[in-house]
Amino acid sequence: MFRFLVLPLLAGSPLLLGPGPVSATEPAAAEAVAGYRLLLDRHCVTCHNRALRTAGVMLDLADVGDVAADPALWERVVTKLSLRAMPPVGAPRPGEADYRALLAYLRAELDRRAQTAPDPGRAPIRRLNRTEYANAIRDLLDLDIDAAALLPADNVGQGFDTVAEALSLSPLLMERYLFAAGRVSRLAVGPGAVRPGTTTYQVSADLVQAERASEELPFGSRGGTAVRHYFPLDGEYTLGVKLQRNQEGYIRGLKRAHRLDVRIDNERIALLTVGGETHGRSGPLFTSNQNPMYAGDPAQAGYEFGADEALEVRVTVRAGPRVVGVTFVDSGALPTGVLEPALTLSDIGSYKGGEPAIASVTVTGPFDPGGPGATPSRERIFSCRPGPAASAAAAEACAADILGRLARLAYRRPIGSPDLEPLLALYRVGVGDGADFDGGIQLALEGLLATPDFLLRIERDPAGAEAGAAYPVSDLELASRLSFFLWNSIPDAELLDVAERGVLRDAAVLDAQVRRMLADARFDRFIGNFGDQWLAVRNVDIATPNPRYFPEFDEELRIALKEEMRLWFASQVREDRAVEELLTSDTTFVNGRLARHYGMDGVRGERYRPVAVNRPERSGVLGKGGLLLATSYNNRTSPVLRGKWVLENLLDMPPPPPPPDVPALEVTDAGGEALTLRQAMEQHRANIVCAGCHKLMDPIGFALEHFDAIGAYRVRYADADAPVDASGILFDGTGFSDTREFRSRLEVHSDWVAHTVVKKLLTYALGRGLEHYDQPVVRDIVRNGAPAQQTWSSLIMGVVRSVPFQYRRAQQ
Amino acid sequence: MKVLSRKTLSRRTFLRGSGASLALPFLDAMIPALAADAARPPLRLGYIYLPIGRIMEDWTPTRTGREFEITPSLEPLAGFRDDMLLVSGLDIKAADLLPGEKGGTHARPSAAYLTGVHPYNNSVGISVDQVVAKAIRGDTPLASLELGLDPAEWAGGNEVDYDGFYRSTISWRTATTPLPTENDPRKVFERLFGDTDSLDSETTRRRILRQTSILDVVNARARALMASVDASDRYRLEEYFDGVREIERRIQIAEARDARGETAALDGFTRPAGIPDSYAEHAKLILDMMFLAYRTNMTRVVAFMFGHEGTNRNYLELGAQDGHHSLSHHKGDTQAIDLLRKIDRHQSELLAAFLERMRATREIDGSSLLENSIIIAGSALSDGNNHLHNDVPIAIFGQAQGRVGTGRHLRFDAEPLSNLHLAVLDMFGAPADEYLSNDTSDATGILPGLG
Repeated sequence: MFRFLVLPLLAGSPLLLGPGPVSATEPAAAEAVAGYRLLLDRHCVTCHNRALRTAGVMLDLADVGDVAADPALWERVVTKLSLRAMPPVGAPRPGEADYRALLAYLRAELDRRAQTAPDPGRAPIRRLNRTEYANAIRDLLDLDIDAAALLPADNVGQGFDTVAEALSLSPLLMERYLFAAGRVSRLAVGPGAVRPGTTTYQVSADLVQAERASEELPFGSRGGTAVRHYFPLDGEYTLGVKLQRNQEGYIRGLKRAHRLDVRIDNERIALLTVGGETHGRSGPLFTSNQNPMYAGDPAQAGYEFGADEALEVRVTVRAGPRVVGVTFVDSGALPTGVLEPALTLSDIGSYKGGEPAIASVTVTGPFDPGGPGATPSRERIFSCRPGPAASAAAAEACAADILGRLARLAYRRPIGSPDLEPLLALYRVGVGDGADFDGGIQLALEGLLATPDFLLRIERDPAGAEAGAAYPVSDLELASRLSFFLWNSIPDAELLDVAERGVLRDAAVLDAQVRRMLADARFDRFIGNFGDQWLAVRNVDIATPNPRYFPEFDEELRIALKEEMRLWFASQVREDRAVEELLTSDTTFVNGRLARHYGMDGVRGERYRPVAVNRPERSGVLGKGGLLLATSYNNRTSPVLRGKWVLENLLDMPPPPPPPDVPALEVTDAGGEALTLRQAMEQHRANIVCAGCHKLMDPIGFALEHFDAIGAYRVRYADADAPVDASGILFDGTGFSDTREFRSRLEVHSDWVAHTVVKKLLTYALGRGLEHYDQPVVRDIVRNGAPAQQTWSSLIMGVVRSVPFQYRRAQQ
Repeated sequence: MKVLSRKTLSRRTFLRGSGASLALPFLDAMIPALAADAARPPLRLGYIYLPIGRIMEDWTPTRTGREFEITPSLEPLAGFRDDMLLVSGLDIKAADLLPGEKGGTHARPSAAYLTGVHPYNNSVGISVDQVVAKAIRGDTPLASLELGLDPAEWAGGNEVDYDGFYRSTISWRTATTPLPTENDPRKVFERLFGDTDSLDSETTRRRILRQTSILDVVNARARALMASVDASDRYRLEEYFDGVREIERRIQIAEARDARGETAALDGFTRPAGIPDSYAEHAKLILDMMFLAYRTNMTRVVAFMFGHEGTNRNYLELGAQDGHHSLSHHKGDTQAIDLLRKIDRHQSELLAAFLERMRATREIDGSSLLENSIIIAGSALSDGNNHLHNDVPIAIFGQAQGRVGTGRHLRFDAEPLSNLHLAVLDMFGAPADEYLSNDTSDATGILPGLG
């Protein structure tokens, strides 16, 4: 009965909405097919035949006249030919006209097949990942939670943590969800009573703390930290500060008095003084010196061990999320950003001079707690409140009102009594157990957050759907697809309203909703999540440059490298740039630390600002230090990793994994002379097994060799004392002599970069790996974006309008 | 050693950090029962690590057998003379320097302490506690618990080719997976008992009621969905159900335990606020958690470190301004040696308080918790001044249900410490194959004469 759905599908499909897809409505002439056959025989089957089976591709057996017989194979051929990556460098190539003709034919055949039998694929049940869970809690309850402390990290599939297959459920995870439900509901409602607890926020010992550390801290401050702490109840809390110690336990920098500024929500609550006291003779400045001749007086040593014990303030705080800031008042004695003095690593360990730094901030409380206060969460939850004289029935009516409203948002659909009744049962248990109205709501909320309705995204085939047929998902399912794609979270009330009215599929309505969502602040979550995963920002966190080779690498730089990529990618998307600017954009974002790293003048301080890149090699994504760091080893660059990253993430041509037993790179030649990386790689590539893929990867990596393993620019290798050689031959056979020429060679393929971006977007949005039948959709979105120069919004809109996003295949 | 260098955390350190969040803690409010139908209480294993050796002349008695004398460092433990088996003459042979190797004077012995394997190329071996944990896994909610007092950051320092994690833990789940120690008693409590403030029976009863109600709702909703989802999607809901069933099982155990009145024994234990400032208070709280873990049968295997190997903690309350590590290189300085004696005795006192609690607690059959345990206190170094890792101090407490003959001092002649580990594996019926799987293991056979 659902066969008719194919018609509206075609009518509403972007497959037909575009400016005239390359159509092949009649079978290609036999003559043309014979020409393609000849082309394949001449250029491809030498390797890709039934005997050699190179890469598992046998083009001697495949019938180029019947592309529909094996679309998966021909899609692979299209990828290789589009990039001119086949035949391999060095082998004779067909003429450009032949490339174009064969490609046009294959694409047309493949797209035609997709139009007659579109396959939207099947979206399986998907649980909320950790980020989505945290965002949903934020949107539902106006509560920021530290999801990493509550839930385990998610697995990643196809490069994204939205992919359903990777998001499994285990008993352990279920326990964590129940634990989180309890913790979150108590925080949101406000615990009835709570024993004082201590939360300690460590400041990384690897931060230099020589400058203003956070936008949340006042100007003229130095170091310290600003943390967002959730105060569960109105009450008294103590804030304690511990200072950094050297490895013998002495607090650093106590010679002079320093003032410590303690703030809550940027309002100063105390100005403490530490240091500058004299209780006798002080011991040696480098405390590893154990010569008793130099020992200090015990009283002074005691002070140097424990001076920070006095750094405690007791303060009354109103419940809710507050920013606790602790920082030194900058005395201005030192120029910021300079480490004084320059010490070897082991000397730093036992040095007790210099400037003091904050090691941790501890919040303890509440003492003498008052009520739960008027937190944003409570205002969000308690839309009504039974008066003191209200009857049990009246109170329950109010509870039903509160829970119905929350459940509709949390379950992302209208609520019926099978949903509400169990929650009210929990409310009654809560109230009956001696708790008040709030306690009842808390228990019901705890239950709500543990239900599969909230935790799982479930789509269902409509009754009577024909097995394997494509059908449009319901408006409510579409609303969830939209909000999880663009907001990483549940739909808001407006989106649900539209979906419940059944008008979300109205093209104008859908358009307006998507535009609204793109303009909303919640769209930043898409930018952050998608960008962080795609552009390897998360890998910057786990990169560990070896201090022996990169003593200048510090945590400030790590943070700046991540921020640069995030701010730049956000500006690309927010300003709705064309995706080809991924390669060419000559604007980037730096603060003082990063500017120093990049050798830029005139940028100081902790604030990031847009600047023009200072050398053309820095433009676009490939000039970003964070990416260059994330694709390096801890002691050297890796042309292989960099080349592989580009192939996978910009060109949709992931190389296969290396064969086992690959020998490590030799660092010296037979005579013991140090080899440059290029020389070492060339030896490695002499191995025929390795050569095939390395010919694709390595030249890209070598083109980026002007950037060292932490992304700094260089013209010579320090270890081998040789100039950097960034020349090479790209996979398409064109040569380049330096990074700039490489960039222009790569830009030739910017259409294919757009293709890759769309594939990434679609994977992320659908939560599944893409199949060959998705390729026509990808081509279509790229084509339809062309008039708009493939801006981010045009591609995102293309994804939203696409068949796989709007439809689903019924189960077989 | 505190990390003050600008050296960034090693990848390994990062993995350990994320491992902590992946090693999932347990459900809110679960107090699992002792196996109700078992006539015999379960056997428990504990390793208590004493950092940087001891002042050995104050530790090892001169007499052996039943006539051994209580030495100054053991004095705080004198009350446990009959519950103690001192073992001397055990060497950590696997920690010996390899030809051409230098450094790792603390890292090598502590990594080899429970593994019997020389650390090499970021790999050691599985540790004996983890072999036991693996063998008896499934009996308890947590396979094992790793506790300590020094913060993880102190371990970051790199000691000539050996990263901090070789010294900050003695437990290795696999040859390449060091298990980080948790030093915040509040976090340990929450891991054991969930998001609750106290363990008294009234609170527990209420929590069981609330959780049962929540699971009822969750179950009802999942069943309703199961009927409506597409067949191909059922497996994911099945996973959800599996999780719910597992939790229900534990709640039932908790209910049974509560019905028998066993939860009353835990009255008075409340959720710790966090890490106390005083070392002694901190140690007491963490050892309380160790006791609770055994008492509630949350786990049967615990490792606890009084400090990382090579810790440089300042015991100011003992009058020791210099760090423990600095002091340990006393070069004969009597002042430093006296301070080290004080540290040794102090740790013996803290250990005694824990053992007292173990001995005072009665199990289901009337025997004491200590009788059903084997708690091995020891160090990977004997003389910290010279970094010696032969004749290391080892004191075993508890009778392990008659498997350990206490009240004696056993002296061996340069036997590998690993042989004691083999004896422990034997007591727990745990297979030794994996422990012995590394070619370089220094074990030669089960240490005789413990019973």
